[in-house]
Amino acid sequence: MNCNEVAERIPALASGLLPADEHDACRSHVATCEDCADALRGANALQFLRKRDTGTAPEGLFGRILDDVTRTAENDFAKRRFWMGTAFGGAIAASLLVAVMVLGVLVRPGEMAPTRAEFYVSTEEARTMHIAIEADQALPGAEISILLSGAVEVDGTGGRRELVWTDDLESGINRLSLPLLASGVGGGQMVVRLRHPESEQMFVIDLPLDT
Amino acid sequence: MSKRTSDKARFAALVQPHFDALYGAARRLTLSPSDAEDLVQDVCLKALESIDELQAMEFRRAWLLKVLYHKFVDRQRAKARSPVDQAVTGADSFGPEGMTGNEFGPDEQVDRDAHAARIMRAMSILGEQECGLLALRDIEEYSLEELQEVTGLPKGTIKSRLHRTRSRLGRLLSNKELQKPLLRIVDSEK
Repeated sequence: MNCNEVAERIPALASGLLPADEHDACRSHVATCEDCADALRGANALQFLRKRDTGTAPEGLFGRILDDVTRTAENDFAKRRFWMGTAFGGAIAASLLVAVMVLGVLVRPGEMAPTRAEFYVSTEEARTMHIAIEADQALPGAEISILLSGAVEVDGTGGRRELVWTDDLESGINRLSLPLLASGVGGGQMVVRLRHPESEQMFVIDLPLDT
Repeated sequence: MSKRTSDKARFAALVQPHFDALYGAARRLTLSPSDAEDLVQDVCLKALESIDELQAMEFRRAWLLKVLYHKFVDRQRAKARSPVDQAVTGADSFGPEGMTGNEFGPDEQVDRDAHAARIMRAMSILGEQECGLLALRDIEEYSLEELQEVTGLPKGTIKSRLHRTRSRLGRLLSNKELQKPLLRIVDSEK
């Protein structure tokens, strides 16, 4: 058997549902193929979760949740606006000037609405977004976070939704390139967050799908 | 009838038939009933926000479960600021040979919960889409045809994505992926 044939049978192999001859052939392949051995390890782990005893939903839970979510939904919009106003009001008041430019489009600090940067992600290829982080003074040990939502990922990171690292930003323009890839339909959004003891700023970038 | 009452009635009609399945999935992914209830509540809130979309769907249960796995990933990440570090600790007990009965100690439930927690953390590293797709297939046992309907992706893409994600999960559980740098800053003025 080759990898494709084994890959199709991995869930059944993990469940113990393969006929004996296929089971033996799969096992022989897995013993010599690291990638398929990893896949079987993953499938075994999911089998373990699948077999967990789940019990039944407590009496009255649906009604309780129904009441809660209808009440929450009514207040949600107002809550969200309050949170944004508070967070970004603080950011604007910070003394440090930090701005992010995406492909020449300036994203102003505090601007919560998604930008209209002309950048489209594709499912076919990774496209590199160049980001310039402008600081009016050196920022040693700044924490940079990239938070992704929707069907977008940074190529080569295995679909991670949050990337966080620390870097020394120089005074002036600091450039960053991100290879972005659409992982499905619908596009997504990226939040770039900069943290430093003297300031915290967030920028939201819309990433529509190139159709 | 007010909009609120109308949406509430619609929500009940659309979601209640799938509620036990949702709760069961949530219990598999959490270590306590209260965490499961919180997770189901997150899903229900999302369902209410998307009530028109949900009503128009053919595969409502699959959509609800997909949302549940996405919310699960969100919650796991919020819970563990450094999920990678936590996911790699401990010995590899999910080898290709499968789990044996001998690896649990005297307090079996505690050990099982620890194993489950480790898988959950590793799943949260996979990414929402990948985690959802793999869980629908390997935990909820949806067919490839059903996944095709739910995701709109070609069957070949689904198959390759599933295999890639299973392998990734396996690697995470055996500590192979974790020394790689997350991201490299490069000069964009080329």
